[in-house]
Amino acid sequence: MRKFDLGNVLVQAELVTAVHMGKSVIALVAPLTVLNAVLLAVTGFQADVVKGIETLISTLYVVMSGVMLAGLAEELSTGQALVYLIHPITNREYIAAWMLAGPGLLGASYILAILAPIMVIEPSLVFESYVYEPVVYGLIELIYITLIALMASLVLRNRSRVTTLILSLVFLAPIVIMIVVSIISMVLGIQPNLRMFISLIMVFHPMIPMLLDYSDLKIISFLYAVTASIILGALLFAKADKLEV
Amino acid sequence: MIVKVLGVILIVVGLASILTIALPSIVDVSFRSTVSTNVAWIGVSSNGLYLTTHTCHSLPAKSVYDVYFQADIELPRYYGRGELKIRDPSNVRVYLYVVEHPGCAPPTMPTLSRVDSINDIEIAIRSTIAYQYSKVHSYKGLKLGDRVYVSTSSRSVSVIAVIYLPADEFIIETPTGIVSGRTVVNDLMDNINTPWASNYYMTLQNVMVRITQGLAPRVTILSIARAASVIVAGLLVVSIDAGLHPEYYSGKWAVFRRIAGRLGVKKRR
Repeated sequence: MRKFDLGNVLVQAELVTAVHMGKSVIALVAPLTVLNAVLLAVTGFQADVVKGIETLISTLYVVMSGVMLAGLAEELSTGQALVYLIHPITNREYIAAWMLAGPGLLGASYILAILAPIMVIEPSLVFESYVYEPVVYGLIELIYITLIALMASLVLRNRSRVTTLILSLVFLAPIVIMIVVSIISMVLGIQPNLRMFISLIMVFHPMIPMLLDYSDLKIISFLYAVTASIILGALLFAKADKLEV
Repeated sequence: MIVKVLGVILIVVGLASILTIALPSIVDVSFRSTVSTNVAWIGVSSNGLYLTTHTCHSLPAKSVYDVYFQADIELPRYYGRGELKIRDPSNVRVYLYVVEHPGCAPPTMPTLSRVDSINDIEIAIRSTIAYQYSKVHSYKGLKLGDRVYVSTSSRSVSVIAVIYLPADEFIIETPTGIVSGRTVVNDLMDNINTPWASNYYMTLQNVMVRITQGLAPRVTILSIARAASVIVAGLLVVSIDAGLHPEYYSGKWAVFRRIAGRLGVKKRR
């Protein structure tokens, strides 16, 4: 088996960025950065407001990133991936390049877009928990959702299906969960509480317990998202070995 | 291409930061919560007056909040009794006390009292408003418009702002003439326990102090320099990348290739 060559991964990641993401990332980050900066300015950097704004921006960012990475599905379905794979690049290097260009680049640009304006305006705020917590959780959610998007692309190999799946996970799943839990609670005659909903919704939104300040669930959701991301990463590599284009 | 994307984001971030800094100066930002309070207690010393305000509120923030403290002294509306004027506002000193406690008791201080220094007022605050287990955050020697950050663990706080007006720094204009600050201070020192002193008290009570919760970014040389350095860093990163990877810089991006040429950055063959 050929050795894993990081140089190949970097070259391929450059290609992936140029073909699928370069313009999209700039088009995504620029308005979100400006929106973030304007909202922070007009609301006066108040603790709860900053937390809310950062969570809103992060959610938008996560959704757009997930949708962007459905490009892998397109590459696989149209056979474009074959063009790259006939070069001396292994399947694992190809998937690693997508992971670097996807969660890697998007994560770096996310941190830049959210933290850099705050560092410019008032550097001391970066060390306040209400500023760095949403960024940490937002980053974890971003990595988690983008890895789901990559895995879904490998399995479904259809861009519109992957896009629908990501949008459903982020927007539809919490509503469905709330309705289902409410119906089950009504049938069983028990009173549903917010904690119950959050415990389920955090499977798709690890940021939610942090936003609503459920300190115990916050740690669980963090650990869950990190573990799930590691497993997803490993599964992506395992799946890459059996990749047929 | 990855470097190009990150470089462009740096430029956008720098421009957005300038927008954030400039925005509150261009438009009236009214979303921040502002508390304006009248003077509740006056400490009189031989050198000047300590005008003390007290507000008690439950914080919207959970654990940490920022106070952009702006002690704008507003002139009394009670013109019949007199109008307070300050010669040089930069000589006015502000002392801010944020008291954390589970409840929020009103101050039980006399409206006019004789004090030697700010220490007497601090002792009074600690013995009346602050309970034994309260945490008092104190910020001394501030100037009007200074910004302070207050991190509290309690949602309920008392904010006490003390404005020190040196006797020679203010005058009170009344319909019958101008009274100097020195005269006011001497009169109050001599007649502090008489009903007569309430005339001055009524005038000074109308002085308002404004405390704004939330941070108003301000246009300063440092903040502009920070934003500009981010833009320059972004431009440099993109230009160097344009020199090393000219294939990603065609069309309107070609300008960065020319900058890279000027900088002497070339792709190695």
